[in-house]
Amino acid sequence: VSYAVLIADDSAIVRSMVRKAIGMAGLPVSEFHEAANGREALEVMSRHWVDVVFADLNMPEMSGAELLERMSQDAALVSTPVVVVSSEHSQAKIDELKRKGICAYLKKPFRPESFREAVEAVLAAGRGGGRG
Amino acid sequence: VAEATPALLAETLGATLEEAAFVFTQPEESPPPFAARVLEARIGFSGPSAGELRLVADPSLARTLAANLLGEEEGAGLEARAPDALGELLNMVIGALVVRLFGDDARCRLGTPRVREIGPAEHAAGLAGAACAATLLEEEGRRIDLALKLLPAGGGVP
Repeated sequence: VSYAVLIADDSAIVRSMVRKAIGMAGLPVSEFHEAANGREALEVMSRHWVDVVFADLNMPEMSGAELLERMSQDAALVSTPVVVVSSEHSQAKIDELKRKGICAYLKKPFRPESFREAVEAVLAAGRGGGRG
Repeated sequence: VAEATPALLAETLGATLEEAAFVFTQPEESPPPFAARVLEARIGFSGPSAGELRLVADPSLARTLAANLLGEEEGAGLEARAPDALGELLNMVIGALVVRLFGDDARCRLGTPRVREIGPAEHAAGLAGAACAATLLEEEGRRIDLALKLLPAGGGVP
């Protein structure tokens, strides 16, 4: 089984860091897609199958919170697992996002091993379909 | 909840540099002046107070930060990534700082970092207008500054 992963972050350097961390976490990846904001992420998901999304919150044009909202209203995307990777450390914000159904929350700066836990959460939730 | 002080800025910046980029620093009260143009990253925030945080570094240190964030050797190609690295480190610093300033349950809105090159005089003027600031030196003596400017209550993200 391998996974199509979408990384949404306005920082190219963070997208590279997340890509490396996912690789080190041992998630078998068939395709990496990247987006610089929520709008681009939705465009990517309209063209490609995506098994799991790693998204920042503070992005220009469309934030990660707006992206989550739009995904929750789209029958094709509502069950796609989302891992938020953000510099926001507020527990209130994290709790709110978890109530909205995110799979895991990783605080920046992150360590590669924290991605392993997030990936395990995605797999345990059984929502990351993957392709055999 | 902590008061905004130079020590708090130094501690938050130092911890972030160490954890994210493996750069070890010491606070310095009488730092050497920046000799040439520097990279400045700015980010706005709003919450119980609104304001702006500025992170300013020697360009060669910003290249080192880019290399360390990416886990790559320093070399050609990293110059273009230095501004992005500095902006992202500022993003990490502000995320940690607002929780320390306003508490875990405070509702805060963060902006997105903007990075540009400025001269030493413009940076000095910015420091003079800050509510508080801290300077750190890394192991090779390269300087990085963090300055906090607060706006009157009720303001949005600058």
